[in-house]
Amino acid sequence: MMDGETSWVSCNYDTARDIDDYELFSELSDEGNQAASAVSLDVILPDDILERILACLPVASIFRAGSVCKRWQEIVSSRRFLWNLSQVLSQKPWYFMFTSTDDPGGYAYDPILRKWYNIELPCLKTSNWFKASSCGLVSFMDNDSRSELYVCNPITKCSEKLAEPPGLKFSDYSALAMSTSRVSNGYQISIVKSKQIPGNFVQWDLSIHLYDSEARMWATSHTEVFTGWRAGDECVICDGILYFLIYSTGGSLLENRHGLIPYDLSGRSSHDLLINNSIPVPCPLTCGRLMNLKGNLVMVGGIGKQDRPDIIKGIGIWMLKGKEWQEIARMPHKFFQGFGELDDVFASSGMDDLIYIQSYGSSLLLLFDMNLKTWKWSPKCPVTKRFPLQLFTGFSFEPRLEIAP
Amino acid sequence: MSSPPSASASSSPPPCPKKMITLRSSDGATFEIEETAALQSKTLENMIHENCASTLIPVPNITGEVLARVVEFCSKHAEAGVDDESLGAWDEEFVAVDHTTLFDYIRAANFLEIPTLLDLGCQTVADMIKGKTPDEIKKTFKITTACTPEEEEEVRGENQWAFE
Repeated sequence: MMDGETSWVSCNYDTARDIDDYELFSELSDEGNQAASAVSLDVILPDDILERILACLPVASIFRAGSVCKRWQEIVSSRRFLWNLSQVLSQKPWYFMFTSTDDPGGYAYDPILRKWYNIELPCLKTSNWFKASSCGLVSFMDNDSRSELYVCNPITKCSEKLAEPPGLKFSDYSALAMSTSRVSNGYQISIVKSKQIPGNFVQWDLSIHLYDSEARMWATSHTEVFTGWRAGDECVICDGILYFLIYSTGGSLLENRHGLIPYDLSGRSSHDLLINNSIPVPCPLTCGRLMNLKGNLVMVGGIGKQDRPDIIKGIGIWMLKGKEWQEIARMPHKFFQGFGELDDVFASSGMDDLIYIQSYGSSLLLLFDMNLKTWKWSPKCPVTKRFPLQLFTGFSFEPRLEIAP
Repeated sequence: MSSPPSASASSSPPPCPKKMITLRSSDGATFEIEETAALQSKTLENMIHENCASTLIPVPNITGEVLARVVEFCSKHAEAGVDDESLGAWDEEFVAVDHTTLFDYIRAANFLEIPTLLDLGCQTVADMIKGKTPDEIKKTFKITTACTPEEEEEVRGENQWAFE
């Protein structure tokens, strides 16, 4: 069911050619006519061309190429090569799946080579820490006191601990988001905190805090009291705008118990009440996941039944255009069924052109390609469910060698 | 009998004939290429603008065999009305050649600064490397100089996952 489809990457003809190369080489035995092939082919290519070629490779292949010979090793470790990498977009986002509820171990899925890698994430202490990612950098924040915040490159393991975020230390909900500039490599981190006002069932204190990597400072950008609504843990930054989901705290069965708030990080409209600019979601949702796909805000949502909104009957993908939602796709029935038991809440993460969807109850991973509008299972993650209530979750990030916090 | 100088004055002006450039390879062979196609090469573009009078451009670094194919590539890519899919298929066929020839295309594209051909060539070679183990890469490119075990270990280091 899962791996029957053909590979997206068009190397079918390459595979055939590669076999030919190998056979050709094996024909030319050491004793045989070496004359024709005495010179190694890469000598013909000057360094700058070889750099360009290697910059087209997926990250794992770059590491392998670096161990081929001294010349290639020098090339991939040169600063100029790293600059080459920042100019091309050869990488597709990976999905890291946690395979334990406590320790942060897991596997990262590479959609180009269609492989799972057993990598270790730096800084992270447990899998329930908050995570946010942008352009190859990932930020992690602890889920206890919410005072430990790190920014790292998961591939190179470079990391930096940031100053403690301001605001309520023991907020009820926190949402973490990050945005990295491809040009300057500077980044912004935002935290949206919500705390129920004591003794009050419907009022919540909301605060938004921003960190700027160049200023190396936190600023509390906005505070507001929400009535009947609160923020949660879902937010993302797209093109300078912070979007976060809000949830109705009222007891009544409102048609839409979810909403979306856009917040302009440049602070131009910081005096308006955010709640007045909220955007309703396109239908009753069981859960919503926000992501930044090439500067567009995309939401993956569990579609709830009208009369029983906590029961998931499908999964949809919408893109925000202005203040309207445009439906991009609905998960076809066979994939929805393929998850087996899909809870009303699930994990979903994505960037560039790829969306990953995963059920908390299993290690099955589904991919949606925004360009081709196709759905596809990933190869199975090398992990098995160890006990019935084990939960799986994950997040996506871009594998980049050339960026550091 | 020669025709009077203004023979065509009475009829409507003929459509502008496509300006042809002649390229001369290192081994003296000449190839005609439409100017619009030649402009895909930044090097040729500069030469055309500098050397407006002459339409013969010497290309001393590239042999006739390779130059012929490069001209074919530029002409194809300058053609109007070709959809992306067929152009992609045409490109795939174009680079379905042995390594030496492919590297010749890449070096020619580099010298003549033809971004489309350079990207195509580099991506094709990258596809040959993608997914292979270091030993397989060495075999494909017939690389005999190897890293010492210490050097190899240094690269593997913390990135053992990439080699599994």
